[in-house]
Amino acid sequence: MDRLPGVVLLGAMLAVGPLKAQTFRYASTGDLLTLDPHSADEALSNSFKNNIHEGLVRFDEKLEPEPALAVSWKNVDPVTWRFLLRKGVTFHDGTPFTADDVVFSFQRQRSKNSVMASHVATIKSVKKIDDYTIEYVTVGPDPILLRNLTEHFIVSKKWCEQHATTEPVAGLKEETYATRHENGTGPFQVVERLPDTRTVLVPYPKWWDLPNKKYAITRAEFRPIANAATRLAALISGELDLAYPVAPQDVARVEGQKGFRVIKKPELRVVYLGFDQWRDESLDMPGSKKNPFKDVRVRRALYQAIDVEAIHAKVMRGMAAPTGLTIPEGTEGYDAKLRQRYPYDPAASRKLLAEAGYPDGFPVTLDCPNDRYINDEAICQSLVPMFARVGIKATLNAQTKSKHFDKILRKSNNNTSLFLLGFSPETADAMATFVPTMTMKGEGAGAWNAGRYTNPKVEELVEQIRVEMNQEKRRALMSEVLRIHKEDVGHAPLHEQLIIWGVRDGVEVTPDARDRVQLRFVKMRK
Amino acid sequence: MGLLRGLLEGTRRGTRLALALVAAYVLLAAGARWVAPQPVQDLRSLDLMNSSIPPAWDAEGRREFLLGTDEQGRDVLSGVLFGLRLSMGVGFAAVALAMVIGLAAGLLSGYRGGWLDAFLMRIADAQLTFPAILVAMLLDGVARSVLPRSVHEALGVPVVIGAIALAQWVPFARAARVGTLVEREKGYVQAAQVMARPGRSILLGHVLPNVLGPIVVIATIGLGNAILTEATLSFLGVGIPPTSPSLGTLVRNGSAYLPSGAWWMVVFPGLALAGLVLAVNVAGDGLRDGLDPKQRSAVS
Amino acid sequence: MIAGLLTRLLQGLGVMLVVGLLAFAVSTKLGDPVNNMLGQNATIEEREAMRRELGLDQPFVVQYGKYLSRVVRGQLGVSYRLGVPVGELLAERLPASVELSGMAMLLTLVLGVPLGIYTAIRRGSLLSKVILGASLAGLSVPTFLTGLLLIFLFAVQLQWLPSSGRGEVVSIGPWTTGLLTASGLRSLLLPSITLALFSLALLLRLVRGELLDVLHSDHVRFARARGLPDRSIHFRHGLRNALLPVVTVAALQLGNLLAFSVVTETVFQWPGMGLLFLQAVQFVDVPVISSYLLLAAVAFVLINLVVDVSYLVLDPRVRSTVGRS
Repeated sequence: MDRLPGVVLLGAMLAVGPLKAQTFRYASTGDLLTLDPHSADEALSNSFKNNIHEGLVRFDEKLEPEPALAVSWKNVDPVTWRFLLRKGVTFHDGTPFTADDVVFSFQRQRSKNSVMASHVATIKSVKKIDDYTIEYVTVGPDPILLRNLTEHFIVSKKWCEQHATTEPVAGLKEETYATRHENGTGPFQVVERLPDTRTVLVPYPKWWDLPNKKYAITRAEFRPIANAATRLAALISGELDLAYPVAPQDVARVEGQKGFRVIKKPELRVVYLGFDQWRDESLDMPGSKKNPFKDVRVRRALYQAIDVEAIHAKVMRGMAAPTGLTIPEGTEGYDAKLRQRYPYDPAASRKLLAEAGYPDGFPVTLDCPNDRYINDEAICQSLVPMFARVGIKATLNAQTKSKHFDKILRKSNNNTSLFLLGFSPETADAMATFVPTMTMKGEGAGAWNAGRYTNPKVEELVEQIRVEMNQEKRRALMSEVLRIHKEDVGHAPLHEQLIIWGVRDGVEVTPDARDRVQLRFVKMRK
Repeated sequence: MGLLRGLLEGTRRGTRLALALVAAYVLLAAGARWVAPQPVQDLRSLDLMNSSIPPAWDAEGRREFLLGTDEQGRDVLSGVLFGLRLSMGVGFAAVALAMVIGLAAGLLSGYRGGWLDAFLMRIADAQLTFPAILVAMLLDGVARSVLPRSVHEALGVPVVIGAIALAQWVPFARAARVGTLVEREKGYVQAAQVMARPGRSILLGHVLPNVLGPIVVIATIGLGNAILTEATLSFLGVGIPPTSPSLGTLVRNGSAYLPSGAWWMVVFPGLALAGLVLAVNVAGDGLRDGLDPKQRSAVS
Repeated sequence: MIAGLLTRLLQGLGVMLVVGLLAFAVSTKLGDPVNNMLGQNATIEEREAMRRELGLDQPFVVQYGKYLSRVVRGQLGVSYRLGVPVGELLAERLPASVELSGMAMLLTLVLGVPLGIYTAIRRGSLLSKVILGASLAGLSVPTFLTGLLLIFLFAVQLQWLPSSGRGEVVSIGPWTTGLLTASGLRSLLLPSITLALFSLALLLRLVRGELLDVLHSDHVRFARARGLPDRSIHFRHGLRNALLPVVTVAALQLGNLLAFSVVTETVFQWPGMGLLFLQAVQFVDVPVISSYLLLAAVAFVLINLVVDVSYLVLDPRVRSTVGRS
């Protein structure tokens, strides 16, 4: 059943209080892939999770952890954390929340099909002490456990068992009950889910944090609109209250429109290129027994063929921040001293290529999504002539994000030679980037490391950082990782993305640095 | 030659104008490589810093980019010329293929008759209701399901040509069949049969010249449809692979920039396309009128 | 007459079976058939069960028969892209496409027939020339361009009408309609005009052509000679005979509409089956593509059948010959 009976809906609305019906309508490029919080680890799906599900801990508006389903915690010893759970919390179907659900959710989130396993990778085990107390044992001392727990979502054990969805499915080719239904504890519940058309949420009248609620809406409707021009038109014509992202070329138009404004804010996301560094023979050069990207000179040559200032000026229209690091500013571990890029220098590129044995360049396929990052396809299209000028004959393969990710990630054995990715450390800590994108060994490693970049020194350092409790020492170790990765040209960073939201006046909304629409902070006036 | 003169004799001035326009298009498109200011096929000629420049007569325009540039710095005029070349090339090829298939089927059907005739005509009837777009998309969908991606891209152009041809062969077949049936009743075919000349030359010798008139008209009309179909498929993203952009792809890319005011990226390719199809349609109309004054204009 | 209808019916079934074979081949022989039905994350037990059910070890005819029985029951597989059963997807999207095509068909008939008549009766007038010129343009401008320009003018610049989506829809049982809300109707306007333009131009010229033929035909000339008033000639003798082929073309245009709706739905982001099909082709969503093949075949066979029947009803001359053809 995708629609709640009208009576319950009415009751829900009445219970929230005598408010004028304030529907918040918003749209983004793609749709969320699933309602199952453990089945997708993709930004749009992730941003929805915060509205429906919760973890023991959540982020406040400044991206600092604060209590959510847990009221307090303490370290029993360096690797054991005891959490006292909140009483009186219910799931959307009325079932009370207890420690059993926490234990179950942990097993589910780290099961072999769960794509969210990396967020709980540092937890070795969970133990129920009593109905409202649990204990996590971590692999080693973990300075960022709380941050990671904000991405560990609690589901109802009873509900999952009842609907035969005790294990999540990875991806979309199959669905379980949890794909289109949810039973979270969060401030909003889903009353309609039409994939690729519309998802409708209403406030959950029995939410535990209702007395402190910071939202003023009675209904939220989300639509995916892939076409930027259509999305813009829908915003300007008043059909939407929020459209994100607004493509850079459309920003002037929205700003010039009375009754609308554009919110720009740096996002915790870096867009970069990755290279196949593990195959002996490149996928695009069958029979040659060569893989150009195994040579750091080739990687560097490609890097220096990129005129990032031109991309910044013409494709992003000034709405991005070119960088030489794959960690965005504002992340714990960011080092401003290393931000400087290698210079744009096609002559140097050609020289490096010749030195490496490719004086006439080589063919390569550039894999790109076309509906995920701001102007992603346009960026890749602009790269092709730049590469051609130094002899690298790139063929662009742009496709929808789900296919793109399926192709370049482990599911298809990292079936790519050169790819575009935009990665965000969602817990605002550099480890959230290091582990999935720069390592291959260790717990939760390499889930997004589509080129399989690995350096033994980096792997070692990451293990050290994992258990380093001293903040100063930790930062020094992280800088060292960044330095080595940069020298290795493990990836070719392009820029930090900007959050660009088109908002109708009368709507109060603040993007968090991860480009998520947190409905619990949305207010509609009028 | 006599055929051409015969066709043109009955035509109005407007038709001759349209035909001249079509000829001009063909020449321009064929000579794109020499006429176009920028060799847009060569990626190294593109400079991103030339992105989104308005047409030359605008304050921010530049003389070297007469019709402006797109967001990748490609000269719109050059893009349109190369796009025309592609669109027309595919259109002509598709119609030619459809003509060959249709003629073969129609001649065979009319001459042999019997169950072959009934069978082919049933297929024709059933297929007539499938519009070209649908056939092309279904074919493309099946091709993508069957072939690995690189093969599918390499075969991109032939698949589109094949798909459009498949959607257009029926009118040719019908005309050929009718012509054959008519000729069959005439005395000299029977006489030739009595004289034991081989069947093939009977057909080619007597039937073909007489059905050629209607065939040319159908071809002209089919050309307009073929060009539109190809452009539509490219616009939808399921046509020719985007490495060689057709007019439809140019409109598709440009449409994202229409709301921000960059109208030239859509309007010029669109006008070129519409102009071409209009000229072809008017020419086709006129030729049909010239051929049979009783027939009123109706493009179908 | 019944014999003729039966023949047509059988031929239609034949076409459907052939297309069904193609759809069967696409969906089961290409790629792992179990994958197509269950998706890549099914357990081993589920795969074995499906393999037995699909009868993959059994003779081809049996497999095809089982496929047909599944199809008839509405089991068309699970969409690769959305993870939702194809049957459900199609059912969800059907109302949107039907309303769009229906409105476009309405516009085509309501405008095309009168305009065609006018330009036939008043051949030399300036207005006729303008209308004919516009119709020629309508046939030459691609649908997507029309849509884009209409959006730019009415939705972006003038802001009179919405640019995408269906607006508010009301559910009546399994159907969702946009016809009962103001925003629904406003959302329907631009897409249906865009979709109708080509058919409208075509129908207009066809009506004109047929009417001109008839008006100059012998028995109309005799009627005039008998002194019957023009109006009576035009409407009683001319129109009725002209309508016959027009009905055929109108019905065939309905088929065209269903196909061109792909373009219109794309430009306006109209959540119908056309957009679904396009996304399926782009994504290589095999279950949806093969289901579409079937659906298209069924639709067109039905349309053909309806045309044949209406011919029989409208023209007594045809009734006697249909058995022979």
